[in-house]
Amino acid sequence: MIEIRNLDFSYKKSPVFSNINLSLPEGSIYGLLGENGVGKTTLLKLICGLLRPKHGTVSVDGLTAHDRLPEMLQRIVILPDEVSLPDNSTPQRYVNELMPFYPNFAQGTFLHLMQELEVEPDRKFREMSFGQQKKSLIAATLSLGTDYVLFDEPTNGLDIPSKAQFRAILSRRFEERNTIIISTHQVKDVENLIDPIVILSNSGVLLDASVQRIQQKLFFEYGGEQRPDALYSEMQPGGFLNVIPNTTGEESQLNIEALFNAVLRNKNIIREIGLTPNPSPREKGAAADKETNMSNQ
Amino acid sequence: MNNTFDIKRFCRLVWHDVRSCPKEYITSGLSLALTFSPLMVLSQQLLGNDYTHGTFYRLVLMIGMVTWWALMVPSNVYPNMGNKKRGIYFAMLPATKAEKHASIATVMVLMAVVLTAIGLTVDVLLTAVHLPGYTKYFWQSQTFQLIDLPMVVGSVLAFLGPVFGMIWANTLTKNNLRLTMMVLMFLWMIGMLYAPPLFFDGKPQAYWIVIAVEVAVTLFLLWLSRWRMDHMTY
Repeated sequence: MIEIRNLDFSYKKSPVFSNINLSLPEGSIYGLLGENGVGKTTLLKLICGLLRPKHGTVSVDGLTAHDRLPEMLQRIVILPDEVSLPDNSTPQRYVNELMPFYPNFAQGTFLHLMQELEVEPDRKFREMSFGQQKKSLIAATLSLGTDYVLFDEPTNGLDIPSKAQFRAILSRRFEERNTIIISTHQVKDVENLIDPIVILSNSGVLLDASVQRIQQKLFFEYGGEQRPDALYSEMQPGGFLNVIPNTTGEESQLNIEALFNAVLRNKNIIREIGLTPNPSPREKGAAADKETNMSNQ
Repeated sequence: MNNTFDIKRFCRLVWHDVRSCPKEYITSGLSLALTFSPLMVLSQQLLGNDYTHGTFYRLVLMIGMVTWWALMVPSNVYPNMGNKKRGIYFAMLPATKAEKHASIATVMVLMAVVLTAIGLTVDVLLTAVHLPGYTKYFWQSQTFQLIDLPMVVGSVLAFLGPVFGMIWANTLTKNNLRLTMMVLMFLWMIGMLYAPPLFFDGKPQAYWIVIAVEVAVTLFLLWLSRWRMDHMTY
């Protein structure tokens, strides 16, 4: 389980997170969404210990992330958005170097995934396109046999068939003991895959809920008129898509982009209907301080 | 799972590092050899064995070249540990920070030992074929007979200090600063390699002053590089 408690983080004088609390139990594919610059990549790096919190703790199965102990590093792997690979190496050589450090590494899985993604394991990285390099790394990452897999914009650079393959592979290979976190802007690429959904903003976690809970609380109405009570409306072919509070209990098909926009524009309502995690006493204090400061101004 | 220093994992890490970039070792080693060998041969022909310590300085020059190579190559093998993109791979390898630190130092020392052995073999071969200027084997040099413990210790420390200095320099994110540090380490190493022989005709106790300085600098650089590796973020 990944536990984030009272996390404060800033880059020099630019604050990124202030007092974030988040629990990510195993057994889910989390979608980490947020606007540019809210700190999605930073959060992934904090989870795998590549960054050190200013205050608070980030732990993976009880192990402090920034200690980067071998026990934790064997359980977690991150695939960053931008990768720098040794030009002369090949995917097979790359995994050969990693293999001794990951006891659950499965060569058969690696070869199978490479075949499925149509990349040759013995071709040099320098002879590959960015998309092929990315596919090689996806195959390598999923073959390591770690419990936690963090993807930062995994579908960037993938062509349309590869995106579908990525979704299929992830759904098929996902096991109960796994925790996968996908940070992305390309929500369409991972729709029907991510559940729960976490939406970050500069002020903290705006939404942390399962798809089922979101559907219980919000209704996505397709093809009607624009509704004045909608949290978010968007014109689409055939009418408006309205996101409204679900008062009937009827279930509707989730549209993640519309959800994202609705959440960003209606932070208080989202909190009121119970899709935002309950603030800790310290968070409440910080919020009260903020309000006091604003009223003083 | 052992979260402290594990010797098996450490050996795996050393092996991983040695075999990860063989091409870098070979190409840079060859280019350095091609650049410096003619200079060495030429200087030997000019100085010959008439110069009191000629054969000995030939040895010092060769070892200096080899150790510099051993120090420089890891900056390619561990490409910018401080680099936000490229450093992630190394940072996420399941091994302790101490094991990673020790493995880099070990690889550098191993490479220097291997290359020194190759260099000495070449030197012996050149002498064996009576290349002009190469009239004496290095161990027949008058100065070689005078090698003593302080000098050996001093030479080892002269190499170990820059090893840790280079590890630290490799973790720096700014290229200019890294290059500056590397040049300083180079000057330090050359200076320290030459310092003990310079005292041959002087006071022997001066060795120990040099060695004391070397110990202090080496320990400081060891601490600095280790601290930096512990606190590096990406």
